[in-house]
Amino acid sequence: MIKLKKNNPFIVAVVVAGLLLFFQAFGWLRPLENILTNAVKPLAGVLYNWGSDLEVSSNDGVNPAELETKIIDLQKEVAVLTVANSKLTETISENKKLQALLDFRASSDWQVVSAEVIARDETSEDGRDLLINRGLRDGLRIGLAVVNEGGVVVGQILEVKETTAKICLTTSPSCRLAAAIQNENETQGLTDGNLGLTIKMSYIPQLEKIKVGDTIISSGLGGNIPRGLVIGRVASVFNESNEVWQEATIEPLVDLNRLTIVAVIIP
Amino acid sequence: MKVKKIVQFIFFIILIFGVTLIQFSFIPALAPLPAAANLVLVVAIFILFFFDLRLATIAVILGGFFWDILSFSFFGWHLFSLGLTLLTAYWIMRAWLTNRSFYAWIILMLIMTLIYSLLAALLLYLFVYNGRAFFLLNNDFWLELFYQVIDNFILALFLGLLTAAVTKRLRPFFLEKS
Repeated sequence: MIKLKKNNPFIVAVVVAGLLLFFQAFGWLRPLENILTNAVKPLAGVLYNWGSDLEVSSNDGVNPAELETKIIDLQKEVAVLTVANSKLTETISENKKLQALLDFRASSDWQVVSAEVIARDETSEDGRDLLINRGLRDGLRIGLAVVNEGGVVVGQILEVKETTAKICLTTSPSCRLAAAIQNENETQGLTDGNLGLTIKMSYIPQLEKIKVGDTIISSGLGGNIPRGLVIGRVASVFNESNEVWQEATIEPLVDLNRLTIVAVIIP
Repeated sequence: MKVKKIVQFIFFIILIFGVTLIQFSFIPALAPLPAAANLVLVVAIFILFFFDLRLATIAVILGGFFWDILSFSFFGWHLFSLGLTLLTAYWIMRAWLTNRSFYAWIILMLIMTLIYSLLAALLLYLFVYNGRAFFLLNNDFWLELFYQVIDNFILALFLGLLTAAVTKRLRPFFLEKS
């Protein structure tokens, strides 16, 4: 058995942990929390980028079917890459994303807050929720749409802290969006994630005609997300005559594993 | 002398914050297998095994607190998961793994990975996912645990070999007569 002495580090630890919990419950740690979070946000963004780059490059080599095509592509790229400095390439890519984001901001009527992904939340149901470096201070609130540099919806804000926010991806089961199909009737429905891979659109009336390839946009219902933001494209339709509703599988238009810079739309 | 100790302590705080930041931002962004690694846990148990309980406790409080501040899980989740794991590790070291061999280090690390995963998942289940399927019945939990055991084993192996190369704290034998 462990003998507990007066100066036992565990007693000190329990007291310190208890005090921290007490201070946190009353919000007294918030200034320290803000200082620490703000101090590490830039470094966290860089670390996330490195990790994300490594993840993407390891995934690229996994699919054998695409390997041959990729080898040819890579051989072409080698010539370019030997000339270009890797850091410079990264900067150019980031600049392009930011430029696209600026174009999107200029062309939209809403307030757009750009943000950097700083981490992935390991406690979320599918482990795919992301943390961004913007929060309450920047005007963010729960339910707002998150788009990529091209203006395609990639997720929604789930939780907000003073300087950071947690977003779910459109492929996550916890991400529910009011959506509409760009067809004759502008059919409405509800989207949520399907196993972290695709998006499922449900509550589509049985009589509505949906085609593979139809574009899915945000419907604007609920008020937090403006109408007309692209969510994805219909990949397949499930229509059974004995059901009241039909369902559609939506293919996301962007690779959600490569998100490093996003924007939040404030209507 | 006092200044030297203060400088050492500041360096220690920065080191723990750095490790926690890598755990928070870098590791989860990797592919599923390496993303399961728990660097903070490995470092905390490393400090307990090769240094002392006092320093390991400070590391756990600093790391757990910083991790809790950064993450969106409930405050105290990392702090208490790490703290309880450290307490268990100390008890195991006092009761069973009394020597400081390479084997003891690896075994301790594997046991602690298992205990940390169970404790963290239990706390998350009790305070966040209460009412859903029990975490032990969830395939994802076992897969994550399997990945974490592999990752932490590799990290422990690396740190153990590194320590064996630079210090004499790690003895090559398995059992030691007291």
